[in-house]
Amino acid sequence: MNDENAVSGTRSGLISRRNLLRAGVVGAAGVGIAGVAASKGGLAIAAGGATYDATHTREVHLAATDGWVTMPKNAKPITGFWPDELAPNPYNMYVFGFRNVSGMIDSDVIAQRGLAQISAPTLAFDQGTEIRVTLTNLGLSQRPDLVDGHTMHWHGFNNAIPIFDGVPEMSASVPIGKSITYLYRPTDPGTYMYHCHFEDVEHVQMGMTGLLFVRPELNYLPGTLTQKTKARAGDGLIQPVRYVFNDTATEYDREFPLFLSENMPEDHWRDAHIQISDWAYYHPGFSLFNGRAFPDTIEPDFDPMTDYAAASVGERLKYQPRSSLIEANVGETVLLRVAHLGSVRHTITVDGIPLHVVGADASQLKGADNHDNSFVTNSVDLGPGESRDVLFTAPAAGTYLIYDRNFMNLSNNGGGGYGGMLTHLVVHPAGQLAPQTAV
Amino acid sequence: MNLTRITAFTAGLACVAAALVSTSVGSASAAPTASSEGILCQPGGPTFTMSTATGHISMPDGNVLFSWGFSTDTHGFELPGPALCVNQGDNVTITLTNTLDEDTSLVFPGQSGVLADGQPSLPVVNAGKVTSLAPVATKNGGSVTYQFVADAPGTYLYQSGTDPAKQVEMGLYGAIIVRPTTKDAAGIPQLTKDANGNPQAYGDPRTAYQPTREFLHILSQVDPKLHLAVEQKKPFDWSSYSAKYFLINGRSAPDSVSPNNASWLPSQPQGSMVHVTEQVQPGVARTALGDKMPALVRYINVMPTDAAFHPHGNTERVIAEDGASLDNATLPDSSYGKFLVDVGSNRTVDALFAWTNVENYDPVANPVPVQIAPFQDVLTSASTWYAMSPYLGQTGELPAGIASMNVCGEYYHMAHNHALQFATNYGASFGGQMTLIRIDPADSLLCPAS
Repeated sequence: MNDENAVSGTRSGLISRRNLLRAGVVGAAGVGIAGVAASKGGLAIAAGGATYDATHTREVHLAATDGWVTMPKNAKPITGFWPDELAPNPYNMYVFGFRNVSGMIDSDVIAQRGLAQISAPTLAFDQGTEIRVTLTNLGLSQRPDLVDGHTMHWHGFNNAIPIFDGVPEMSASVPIGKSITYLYRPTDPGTYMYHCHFEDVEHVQMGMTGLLFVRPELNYLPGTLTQKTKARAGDGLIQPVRYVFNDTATEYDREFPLFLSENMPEDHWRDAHIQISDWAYYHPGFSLFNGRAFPDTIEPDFDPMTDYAAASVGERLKYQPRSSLIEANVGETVLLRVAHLGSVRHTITVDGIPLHVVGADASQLKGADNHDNSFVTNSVDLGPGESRDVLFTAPAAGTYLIYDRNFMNLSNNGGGGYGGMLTHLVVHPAGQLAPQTAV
Repeated sequence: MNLTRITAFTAGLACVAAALVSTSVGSASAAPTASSEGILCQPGGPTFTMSTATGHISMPDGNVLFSWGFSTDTHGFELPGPALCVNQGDNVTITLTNTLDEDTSLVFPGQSGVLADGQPSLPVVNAGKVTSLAPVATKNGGSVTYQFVADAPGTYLYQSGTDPAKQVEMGLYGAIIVRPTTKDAAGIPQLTKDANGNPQAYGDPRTAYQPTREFLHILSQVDPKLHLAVEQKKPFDWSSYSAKYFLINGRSAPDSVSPNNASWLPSQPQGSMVHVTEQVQPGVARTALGDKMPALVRYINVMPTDAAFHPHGNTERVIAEDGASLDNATLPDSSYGKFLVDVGSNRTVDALFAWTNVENYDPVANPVPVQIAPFQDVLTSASTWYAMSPYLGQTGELPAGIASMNVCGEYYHMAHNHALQFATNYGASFGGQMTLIRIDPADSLLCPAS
């Protein structure tokens, strides 16, 4: 998979330089703020003594701009609106979006103006990490008349303070050519999402939305910041031991972001062509997994910084870099991190496979008395702004479908055939895929 | 937005800030209570006398909409109807007089044994056809008296049971709040409180909330074309129905944050801003101050679609659905944390909200570890709720030309419908089903007592 995050950069072996650094600072961990007692709705929750220190940080640099992407080319056209005649070949839809420009020098960052991606880069963090997200506003290439700001809103962050919540009217937004650094010390593992909150109805519809998750500190060896590992049954390959929450009952082998959104091509055309939309009227044309509509969902990951051959799939989808192809070995536990920033409800199913929902909105399904409220279903129903953590066991080898059972969302622009929110689960024979170490 | 609009908008918001300081707000009509925020209960319960009424409601963009609602002996036309707050075990009596030129009625989802004029309240069937879900108050002056025993605590609603798709959309709905009671040694029902004397939403002490921190969010929507057709007594093509305004307690943002009984919203007296004080962690000097308990937010959705309501600032704990508590001493706890409170169509949800100052940022003792960009380097909206300081209880220099609604360095978070087409006023963003959550510092002498 394309590691957009380099959070645990441990593709070969599990002792990365960063993990070594982590291990080295354990003795100094006491300088941080220990034992944060947070609360959700007044219900005290154990934050687990998360400890922050100067070396256990993540810095992410995001850039906000506009750009062009492709919806499946064989989709039913919408006369006058889609495909957009302004779009440079091979693209067909105007978007706003974020790019991950971490580590780039300033001149390279500025060069990404007009090259937005959808969905926004998936961000994976570890509980107890001090996270600094710097957002730079590159302006809009297609709409130099607009002087819109941008923000980062971590949707669902607990006990947020306004300056880091990204609502312009409650704090500030980033003007063109400037940056704001947002600081987060997450206390609660789970699946979240993020989006721009500047003129949110428009900027969210235009594509400034993505998935974000926090892994629990239970993944560490006790008293350390070192990832737990185990030898895989059968071949002894080392794999990380990972949990959804701080509960050993939520262990999994592989995780996949499944970010849900929809778009209304008419709104995108109007933004590109300096027209005004009625944002109260919403009738989506394309329903997306990770920023793509089927059949593009099953294409592999691509990289927006790579030059692919002209007319290749990679060149067409490089600004929708995230594949939704789910792959696992027989018998492995798969975690689907489902988050939704569209505007209509969706019902996600994996054909024939029981789905164990263990979390919703970054809260484990557990009562105040620790009663297990997780449940098994064949339909994971979620509305705008919600997330679910879904575990399933990969069944016999083969290809299975993952899709929205609201069949209206399985069509591209209402045309015939299958499109929209549909992807494949490919189950391989035991041991065929190497352990997953990055997402 | 033109200059005149900005001026008017800013003036209105300045009034909001002023009204927050004062707990008493003048009103064109007699105000039921002088409360400036929180749930506004109709006095006189458990016996209520109401009439249907027609009038106009105003939208933040200047539009004025003919609507239906209710009037009482303490208030003229209002939308939504008054919140009817009663105690568990009360014999509730609601006498409805119909001033409309069509029949109407009320239904009480979740209440059992409802009587209409002393007889069981049953659907009305004429020639094999259901004409109303409950016995009607006939048009042009008829009346009917509904009675029921409020035997279970919780958040409920009342709404028209006659041509309800139209009549509820026009405004015939309101909240019913049943507070839990426990019989004392003498057998007299007393309001149930937890060990520290805090009120409870339900019988379980896990549903206790900070006294006075009780809020109501009734979510509804309006298609102006329907309202115009009803006003002009013209037919309406329901296949063309398209809501353009999305309301909390009858108001669209930013009117939603105006105080209860705001004089400039005479027909929409119910505000929806959630107001709490920070919860302070143990070991911090001001621990003795601040809220000890969460706020209670009672959600009611009368729209034909789900409401995906997103409180910024913190996850809420959902403690009840449809008046059924999820915290129950005799059953496993099935309450759940949600940062997106999903309120199904014509359902109710109760949730607890608190905000804990986990970082305790302080400009001297514990500064924010990243540089906060000076205001010259950021965009600030022309009217801001930001105190120009990241620190709770601190204020910074206000840029020239910016109007601030901030009183004392308090924090504001947004709470809104995240199906963002519902966060609009006739297609314009930053409006609709949106309100604010205000978080006061625990130890500021500048913040008004609430």
